[in-house]
Amino acid sequence: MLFNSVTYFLFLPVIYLAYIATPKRHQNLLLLIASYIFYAWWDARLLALIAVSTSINYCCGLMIKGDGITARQRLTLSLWVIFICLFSLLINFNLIGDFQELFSFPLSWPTLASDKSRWFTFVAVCLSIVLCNLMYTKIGSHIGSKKKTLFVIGGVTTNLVILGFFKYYNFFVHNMEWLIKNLNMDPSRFHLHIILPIGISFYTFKGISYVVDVYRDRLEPERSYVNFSLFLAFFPSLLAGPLDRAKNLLSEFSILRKQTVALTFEGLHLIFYGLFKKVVIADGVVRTVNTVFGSPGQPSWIDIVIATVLFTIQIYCDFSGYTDIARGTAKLFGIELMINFNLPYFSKNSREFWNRWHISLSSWLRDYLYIPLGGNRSGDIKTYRNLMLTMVLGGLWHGAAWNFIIWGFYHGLVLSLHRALVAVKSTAASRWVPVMNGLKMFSFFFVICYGWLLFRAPSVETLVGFSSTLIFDFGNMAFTAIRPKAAAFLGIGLLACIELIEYLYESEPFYKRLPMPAWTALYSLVIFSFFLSLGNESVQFVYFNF
Amino acid sequence: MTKALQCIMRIHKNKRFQAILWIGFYLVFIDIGVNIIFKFPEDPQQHPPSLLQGYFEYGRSIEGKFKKMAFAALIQVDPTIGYGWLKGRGNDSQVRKAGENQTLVAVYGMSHTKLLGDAMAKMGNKYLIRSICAPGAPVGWGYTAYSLDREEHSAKIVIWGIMTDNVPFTGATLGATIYFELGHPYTFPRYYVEDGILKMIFPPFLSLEGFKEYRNDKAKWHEYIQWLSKHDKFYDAFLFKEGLTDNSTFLRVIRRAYAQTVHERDFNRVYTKDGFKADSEEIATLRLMVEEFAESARRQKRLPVIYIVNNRGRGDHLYRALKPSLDAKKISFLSSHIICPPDDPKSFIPSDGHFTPAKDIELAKEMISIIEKERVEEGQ
Repeated sequence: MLFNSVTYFLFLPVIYLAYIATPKRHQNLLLLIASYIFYAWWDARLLALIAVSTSINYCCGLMIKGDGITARQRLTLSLWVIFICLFSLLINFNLIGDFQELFSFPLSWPTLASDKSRWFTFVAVCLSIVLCNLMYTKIGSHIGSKKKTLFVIGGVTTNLVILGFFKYYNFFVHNMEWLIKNLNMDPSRFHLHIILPIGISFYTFKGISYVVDVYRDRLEPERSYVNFSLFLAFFPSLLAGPLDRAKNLLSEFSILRKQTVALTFEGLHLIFYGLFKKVVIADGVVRTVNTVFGSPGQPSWIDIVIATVLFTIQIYCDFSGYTDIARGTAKLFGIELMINFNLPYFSKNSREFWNRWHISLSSWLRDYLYIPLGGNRSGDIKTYRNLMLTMVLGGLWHGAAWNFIIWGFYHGLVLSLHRALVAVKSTAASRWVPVMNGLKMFSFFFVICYGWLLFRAPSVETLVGFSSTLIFDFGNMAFTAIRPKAAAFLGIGLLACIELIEYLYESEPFYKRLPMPAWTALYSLVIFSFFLSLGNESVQFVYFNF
Repeated sequence: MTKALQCIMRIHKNKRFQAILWIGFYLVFIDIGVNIIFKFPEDPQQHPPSLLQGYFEYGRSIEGKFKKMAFAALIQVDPTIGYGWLKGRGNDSQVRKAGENQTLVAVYGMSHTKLLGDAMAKMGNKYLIRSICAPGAPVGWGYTAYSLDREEHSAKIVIWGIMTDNVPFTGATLGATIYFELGHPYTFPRYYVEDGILKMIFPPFLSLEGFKEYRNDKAKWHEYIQWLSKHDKFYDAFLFKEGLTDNSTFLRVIRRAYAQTVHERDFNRVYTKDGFKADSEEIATLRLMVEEFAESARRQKRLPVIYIVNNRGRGDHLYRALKPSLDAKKISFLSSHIICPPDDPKSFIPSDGHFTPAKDIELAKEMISIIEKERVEEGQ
């Protein structure tokens, strides 16, 4: 169910109305059910994975704190996991996603007996549950820090194993083929047909941050299983973030939320603005980008430059558009998700960029990777090492491909360079500071653009080919790609105008002085550009792949 | 706007209604403003429309377009290419006979085929080209053009061009129901297969005169619309009928978006990212048409050649869909995908579906070599 699809705009009002009609104490349960339906829309089998992941993190949180889990809780949890696994096993997957099949019950009994692998997975899950229950007393008898360490390691490892298996297993096997061949084995035996569960990188990272925060005593473990499940699976942020911390989001779920007209208006505005970015701009330029990056031949210099700049705009509008819709949807339910983007292309250097781009991930990487590695506390060399490692792993988080690793390495290098050069103080007179800042922004924009070229390249060969064209075919202006949609130009112009105003005027007094006819005129132009783009093909959000 | 608007909303929280009124006022202002500033010229032949004037006309209803744009333009167009009227094209300008040492080649189809013919003509005097082509000519148009024209000339070679983007629309009878934005008024028969036999339904008129006759007579026009709604698979009243909605920029934009969505949906009924659905009615009809084209040409001792145009981004799917028929009936063909890879932007004129002139020359050379090879084998 895409945020920019008709299905979602049927789903959302239904859930919203049901939410209003539901008593406050059951609203979280309703949101959880809605979230699972939303997730199951792609592939209902994957519900088992998210339920298993939720149960493990939930239990780890309680065990770290030393509260323990009662026999009744254990039984309920075990039965729930078995039930959801059985459901995933029985479901005739992908039928739910097909709108025509929506009203037929998607269970297919005849196919079950023949599919041994599904039964094998189910038996393995059941055995693991029995084993965990049998070992509970023994493990629970450990005391103090030993138990805490055991469960934090267990929790983090489980999350990483789930992520590693589903996301990186085939990449690993593919890159180890030479070794497997040298051992006289057939590499194809090791390849598995693994489906990448959508949003897995997001909910496993949320799980890790929860377990670690409980371990660090920054957070009390959540005792309500429904609330905790909702924290991991809350549908607006389930597939592509923001990666909200447990401390923020769980506290939103534990209070009786108030819905106000103002919040609803803000929510609707955010949804509309997110759709504007996605439909008008991102979907308006995507064909140009795809024809260049998907070209089997070697595009010209100008093709690559234009496609790269357009991809820079596309990925920002696509991802920040998604975040706006997610935040807007959450606001309809009275929930505040964190801000994920803060005018990133107005950054003057890489440090500032990472404080403005995908804020929830960059702060996650800082808190749970960079600082535990030692941060900048152990001298220059180790600081650079930590920076590089954090960025490379951050790149790898985006996908199992070498270009993401190279992208991470590139940003690590840029961050390190900035750190090394930051000591050189600017000697410009104060009246030149705005000019210098403008120049810095302008030049750093191209540094970001090249990063996005590395990110978007479908293979390392393309990346090398494009990079060499940029140098050796410099100035070749033969443009061969498809032109972006006309409305996208209007959209880009409007967005640039709006963001420039936001960047220059952060204070409320400015907006107080701004007359209503002025900002409503801008808003009307946004609506107009949206109308012009209604025919754009609906394209999946880029970050759904991660 | 996220921060700014939130800030504004807080400040003006008691003036929401006023804000909505302002936005409503601006939207009406934009609607009227666009209609005035980008008004489509009444005489597009004298005053060609600008890009934006054309852009805001795309969403006008088909009837509205016939009235405003296409009708004004089609009277003065070159009748050899024209706007694709199958009858009454002005036969005087058609090449009927080749000179000495010349071979007459008749080509039928869309602009790609016309460009291929032009490129072949540039290769020297050996081939004289007789082009019967129309912009975006659908499958049924090309086949009918050949059928109606085959007794009119003595060409030794007949080439029929088919392109990927048209194949799903075999059930159409009017250029405008396939190409809503361009509003081509030409008509052509609808082909279908029944009990393994190729059948067709002819529209009430195939010429500009017929069109004028029907358009200028309310009763006849109504009768034609009834016929269209019954026989044209892609007729849609919302897209076709003129009304007050034609006067609003916003409503035209919505109609255009609707047309694009419907076109995409219709296309995807027959086509997936892996290629055409082999069991679809359209592919079955197309294969039979190709076979019958070849058989009838051979009966007249002509060499039939199919020119397969694989459109941008569509891979070699059309070639693959036709290959069983081409192989079974040993029909000569030229498929564009090897010379012009559909995923390589360099094969195409930027922001245009046509091949670059250099690629057309390469295609023409390849077509000539196919023809010469076949003729040597046949001993001609």
